[in-house]
Amino acid sequence: MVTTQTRLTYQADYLELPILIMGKFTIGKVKLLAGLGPYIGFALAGSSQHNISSNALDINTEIRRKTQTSFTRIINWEEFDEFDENGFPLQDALSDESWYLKRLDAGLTLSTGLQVGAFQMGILWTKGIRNISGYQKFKEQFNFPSFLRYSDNPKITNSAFSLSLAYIFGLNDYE
Amino acid sequence: MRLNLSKLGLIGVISLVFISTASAQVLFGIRGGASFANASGGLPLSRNSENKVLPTYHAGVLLDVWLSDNLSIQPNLLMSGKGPSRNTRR
Repeated sequence: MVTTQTRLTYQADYLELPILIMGKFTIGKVKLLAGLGPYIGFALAGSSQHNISSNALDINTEIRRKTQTSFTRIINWEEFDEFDENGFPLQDALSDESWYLKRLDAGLTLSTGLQVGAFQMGILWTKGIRNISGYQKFKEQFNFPSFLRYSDNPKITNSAFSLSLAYIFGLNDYE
Repeated sequence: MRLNLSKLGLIGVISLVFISTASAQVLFGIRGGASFANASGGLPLSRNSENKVLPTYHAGVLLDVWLSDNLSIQPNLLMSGKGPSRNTRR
């Protein structure tokens, strides 16, 4: 009997342009900020870190052996180049641990916070609306065997909760 | 949806340029902090997988365009880490 646990961490670095429309409300001595607006993001780079650990029983020694494998891969941005000699994607590319993603991301940003002096501190919440799964295009290039459930169209959206600090030059003078 | 968002962004940028050439106060700023990124969804085969939060970063610059004492448009240009951590057990 073998139990396998896979931990996949994928990180992509986006150049992101959120445009916030912000309201400022003065309550006593505190200035309260609330903002909402769209964002567009473009992924510049990305990689996935795979950590696979398995616990297998050796039938000769009857001892459980723990094995661990780690590797890092570059994210496939709708560029599918890992095929075997028959032109079929490699087993690894077919596994659920391979992510094919679109570079362009878009969604909404929500912000709340406080303004103290020239500082604005608070929370940014970004929610992707665009489906960044590149699997539809991947699917179109290959005829998958029907027993693989790739007739489904997966939907992947980004989201992030951020603690953010901004310093705005001259905000004190402007106030 | 993509088209709508691009249009919305374009309107934002155009109105920003328009406003900044008018008499509004334009201030420059820097922004940074910690992000807790995640992604929803995944591939259909991965039913025994779950997405977990990935600690990451965001940092960049911004313009703060004050239209009045209590309204501003703030375009940000950020480098922002995104993505989930994902556990699968078989």
